[in-house]
Amino acid sequence: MTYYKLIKQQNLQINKFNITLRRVSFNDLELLRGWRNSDYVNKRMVFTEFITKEMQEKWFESINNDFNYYFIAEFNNESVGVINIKNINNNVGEGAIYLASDKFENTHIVARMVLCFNDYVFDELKLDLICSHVRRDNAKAISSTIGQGGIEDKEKSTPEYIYFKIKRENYINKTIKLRNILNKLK
Amino acid sequence: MNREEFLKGFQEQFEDTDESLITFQTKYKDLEEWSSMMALIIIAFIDENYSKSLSGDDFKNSTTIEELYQILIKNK
Repeated sequence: MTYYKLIKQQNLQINKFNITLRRVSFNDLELLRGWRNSDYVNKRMVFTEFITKEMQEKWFESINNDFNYYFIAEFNNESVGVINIKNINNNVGEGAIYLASDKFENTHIVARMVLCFNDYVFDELKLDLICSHVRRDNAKAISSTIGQGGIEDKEKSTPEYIYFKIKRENYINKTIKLRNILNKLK
Repeated sequence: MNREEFLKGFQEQFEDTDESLITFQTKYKDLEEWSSMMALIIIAFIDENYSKSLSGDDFKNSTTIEELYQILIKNK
């Protein structure tokens, strides 16, 4: 059963599929900065400069609003990583994810995290479309995005990145089996 | 479900991977189609057919499909 808790927008917490998504708050910034500056995360990012405390706080000021939703995902009380939708405009936003550790890569935990998040984006934020850039050399991420109903927009893709669009209907149809699995497993 | 049926069922979970690439010796996590979504689908396949829930450790402790199958029948 989904449980949406909204004390204040900044304290938004979502529990679904045994995943807890907790909206990033000011108190999380140093934790996130540590992950973000780690070699594991940094080398997967477009922006690869070292992030200072001041840069991190400035970034948080820019995303702490109704156009950007960044969540820390937890599974069994352990932090898994960050998942977000940003630059929401006309019911369209850009999604992204990074993991705190390679031990979560390609595990069912990440699938739970993505489905929990996408359900929130489509059901509660009422977005029609999630867009994402996926590196062409990241076969697992490409497979995962297609598994969520993602379709390439070739006009916006580049030699380095595939530009995916996940429409609400495609997402729902493509993930019926997965959500049935999760509802049964718990 | 015997050994061969397990392999056949495992192969059927993949939409875009040729069956010939999926044998008991296959390092399944190296398959291009393997992802977090596939991990979940395999968990469901095992649950439906063996009434057993695979754990994260079961995946971590297996490299080939044979090893995953051995974990499965050992704990059945």
